[in-house]
This record gives sequence, C-alpha cells and structure tokens, in this order.
Amino acid sequence: MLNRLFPPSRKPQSWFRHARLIAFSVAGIVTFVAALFVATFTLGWISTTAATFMAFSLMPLLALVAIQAMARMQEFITLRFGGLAIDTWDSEE
Amino acid sequence: MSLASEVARKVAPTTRKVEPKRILAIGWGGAVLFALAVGVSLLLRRLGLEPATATVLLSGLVIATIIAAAWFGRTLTSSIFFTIERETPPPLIGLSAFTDWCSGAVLAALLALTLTGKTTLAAAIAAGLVIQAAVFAPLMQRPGIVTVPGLFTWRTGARRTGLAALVTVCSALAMFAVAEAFVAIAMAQALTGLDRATLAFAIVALAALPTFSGGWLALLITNLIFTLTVLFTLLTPAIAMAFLPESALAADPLLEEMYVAVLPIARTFSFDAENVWSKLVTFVVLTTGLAAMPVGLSRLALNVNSTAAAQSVGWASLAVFLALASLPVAAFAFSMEGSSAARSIEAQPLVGVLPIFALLLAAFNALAATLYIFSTSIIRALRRTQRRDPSERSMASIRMLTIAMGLFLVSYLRGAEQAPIDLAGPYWIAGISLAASGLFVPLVAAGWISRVPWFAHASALLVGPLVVGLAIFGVVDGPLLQTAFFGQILSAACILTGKFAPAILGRKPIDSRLSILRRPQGS
Repeated sequence: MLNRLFPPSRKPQSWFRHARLIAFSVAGIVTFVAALFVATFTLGWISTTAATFMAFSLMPLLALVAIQAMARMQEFITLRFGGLAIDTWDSEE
Repeated sequence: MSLASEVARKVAPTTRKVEPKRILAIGWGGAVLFALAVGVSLLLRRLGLEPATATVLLSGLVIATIIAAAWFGRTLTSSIFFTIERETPPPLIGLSAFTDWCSGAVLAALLALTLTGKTTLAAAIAAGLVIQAAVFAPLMQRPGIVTVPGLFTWRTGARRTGLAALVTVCSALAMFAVAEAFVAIAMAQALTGLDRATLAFAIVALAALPTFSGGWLALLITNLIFTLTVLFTLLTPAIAMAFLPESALAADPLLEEMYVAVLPIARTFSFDAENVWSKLVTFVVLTTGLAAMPVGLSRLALNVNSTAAAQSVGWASLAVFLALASLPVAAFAFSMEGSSAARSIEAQPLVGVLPIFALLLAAFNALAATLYIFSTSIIRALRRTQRRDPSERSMASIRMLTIAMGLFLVSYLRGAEQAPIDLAGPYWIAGISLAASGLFVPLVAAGWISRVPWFAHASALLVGPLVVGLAIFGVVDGPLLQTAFFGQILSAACILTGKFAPAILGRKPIDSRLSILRRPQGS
C-alpha cells in the first residue's frame, strides 16, 4: 500500500518529493494521535495508563517513517554519489 | 545456480513454484478465514454455542491452516526451499518479520509488565527496528550469505570466525526456542486444559512441519498468515469494545480460569530499574539484542537489495505499531477491572479468548522460525560455508536436524519442573542478553569497520556469551541485562584491540584480504 502511495522510483528523486513524503507521514501521525486522545478521553473507555502506553506504541510508526525516509535517502545517495561505505566492500577486497 | 538444483528443477517439473503475489493472497485469505470463523462463532453464540466448543473449532482451524500451508508449500527443490532467487516482495518478508519483533514472549511481557517496563520494551522495539534497517540491512545482501555464521566466515575469510558465531547464535536461539515453546504451551493449556507433555509434542511437531515440508517459503507463508491473524485477534477486541453493548453482563467461569492461568507471567519479566543508569542499560541491551536477533537478520537476506531489506523492516514496524496500539485493550481484558470495557468483553467470552489465541499464535510463529534458523545455521556453517547455492544435501540435512532438535526440545519441555508460564520470562531474557552481548558489536564491526583480523572478531563473538553464561549458571552474581552490557563493552574492546594494536605496536596491519584472495569465492 505504501509503495503504491509513494512508488519507489529508479531515478534520483527530487528534494520536493522527499519533503512531501515526510510531510504526509507527519500529518498522518498527528491526526492519528489527535483522534486517539479525543477518543480516549471523551469516550472514557480506557484508563490513563493504557492511553499513555498507546502513546508510546506510536514509536514503531515513527520508526516506519524514519526507515522509509532512510531507504529513500539510500536510493538517492546511491544513485547520486555512487553508494554507501558498505558498498565499497568489492573494491576494498 | 548450482548444477544440483538445475538438475532438480529439470527432473522434478511437477514441483510448482509459488508466485510471490499468490503468497500474499494466501496470507490474507488465511487471516480473513480466521476472522470469518470468529464472526460466525460470535453469531452462533447468540444461538447458544458454548465458548469451549467455539475454542475447539478455532483451534482446529489453526491446525488445519498450518497443515495446509505446509502441504501447499512443500518442495523438493533446494532453490525454492532456501528461496535463493530472492523474488519475495518486501511487504511479505516484513509482515512475517513481525514474528521476530513481537513474539509470544514479547507480547506476554507487554501485556503483563508495569508501565515503566512496557514503555522500555516498546521503545526498545522501535529503536531496534531503526537500527536493524539502518545498520544491518546492507550487511546481509551478499549472494550465499543467509545466516550470521555465514556472514562472519565470508567477511573475515576464516572459517573459525563462523564457528565462533555459530556458538553464539545457537546459544541465543536455543533460549528463544525454549521461551517461545513455554509461552505456547501455557496459552494452549489455558485454552484446552490438556497436559503439558501432549501439548509440548503437538506444538513442536506443528512448528517443525513447515520447515520440514518447504523450508523458508513454507515458513514465510505460515508466519504471514499467523501475523495477520495475530493482528486480527488483537484488533478485534479493540474494535469490538467500541460497539458491544454494556447491558448484557455475564461473567464466564471459563474465561476467569484462563486469565488466572495467564496472569502469573508478570512475575517472570522484570525490566523495572531503580536508577536512570540501569534503565538506560536495560534499554540499550534490549534494543541491541532485538536488532541483532539471528532470525531477523536471516530474514533480511531474503530481500533482493538493501533498500528492499530496509523497506521490509518498515513493513514489520507497521505491523508492530498495529499490535502495540491494540494491546492495551487486550490487557484490559486480562486485568478484568470493573470498567465498562472489561464488562462488555465478559459479555462475549470469545472476544476475550482472542488475546490468548494471539499469544499462542505469535509464540508458535517464533518457535517455528527459530527452529528453522537454528538448523540452517548449523548445517550451513559446518558444511556449506563457501557455497553460494546450497544443494539437496543441505536441504535434507536441515530437515533431519529440525526433527532431531524438535525431539530434543520436547524431551526438555516435558522434564522442566516449574510451570511453563514461570519459565518463559527468564529464558527470553537470557536469549536477548546472549544476542545483545555476543552479536551486536561484531556485526557492526563486520559491516562498518575494515581490517579487523579474524581472531578479534572471534573473541568478540565469544566473550559476551561467556560472561552472560557465567551469570546464567550463577558463577557471576548480577542482573542478566546489566551483565550483557558489560559483555558488550568487552566485545567492543576486543574489536578495537584487533584494529589498533598492530598500529600501536608498530607492525604492519593484519590484512584479512589476503586470506580471502587465497580462497576462491562461490566455488
């Protein structure tokens, strides 16, 4: 689904595209957190402890955004500058 | 591609190759089937179906799913068995990698710990995901590297390093296998009430079945189906709570019995630390241990390139988020507080049973994957270190070794004195300490530090598990996670000594390139 929304491109991507990806992700997370807290405290169907943990459970989602951004940056770096340090294993050995 | 698998492909044309896209469809189909069965059972409940009968029906469905996945994923071709073509899409690998991050023991710990422990573990999982994607995803992309010992053998050019890694990997995997088996047995006991010996045999036999019939591919299908099912079983109570009426209140004695059986797991995990430093150490060890888990690293090797590997970790983190966000509700069902939420779950006992199913399936998934990687690591490290393409002999040996490990595990599980639920926590903590102290630092060094001699790698791989082992057997006194951190420091000292000692002593640096150049690769 994510790949369909943000299709991985073989070409170097513009900075605008990366910024848009991050902006979309941050907006999504902010909306989700807002909805979560509104639901939690207005409906009152969950305790404060559980709500605190749910807030912490958002961390994997942040990890997802970080990982996606890193994967894109890696593509970007590889295509623009010719690879990461680890890709030089071949030339080193 | 080796001659053996080429021949096998020609002589066995009836062995069908499963398309990656079809695997995703099979996974979703299996999970939707489970959700439908739950829905039908809920409707039948209105007509008077007993919760115990519904539980038996769902258990039967799970067993049938495992057997079906093993049957449809069966293969006689080693290229399919090891999925060496690397055609599997990242979403599939990532969703099945949820197994490594939220295994049965982790979910049980997240359900039962105090808030401090829960948040420490959740933060460690998130940080571990990022570290694995950033640091380890590019590591496992060489042809022929499928396990951690294989990586070290290739990187240092010395088979002895691979054997040292094998010791570390196997000791950690053994601990994880026992922990997951205990969680699975405890949950199955809560669900069915059967005795431990029968359940141990049934669970281990079912866990070894996908590996035996189809290797990685069958295991990926099984893991995918049950990951999606676990997400369903955790999300269903979370969503149902919002819609279920509060009026029909009837406590079910069966449910109460189950919760009493599951709750003691809180005693066995303890991440609560007294000061900031020990909290930080706990967090660091959990993070590095989860990131360096051998099963997860082997899964990275299934991806076509490092970007795909990082993306698969991203998919895993999406599944982890869904599970963690719905866990508090499941925990609510366990805690049976007098709130309206707990009461509405009491009104529909089957919804309350679902979290126990989630733990059972997550533990089963992790056990199956651990058994496969255990035997693969041993066989590939002992016999096929230099081969890019494993042969039919490797495949047959892995099948046999998995059966042998399963039998050994069953005999061990039957003989344990304490209750299964009391033992799961200590074994899991021992496993994570071994992985963190033994594997993390050498793996980072293997990927990102050049010209470290093989004996520095080998001693770094062995010193951590040695220290943790002393703590496990009570020779050294102290909390296991703190000891693991000490082991990491020693491990880093070994690497740095190997890197800088020749320069300080004024000798020429030991170059691992020479040994690699002497030995032709991929022959």
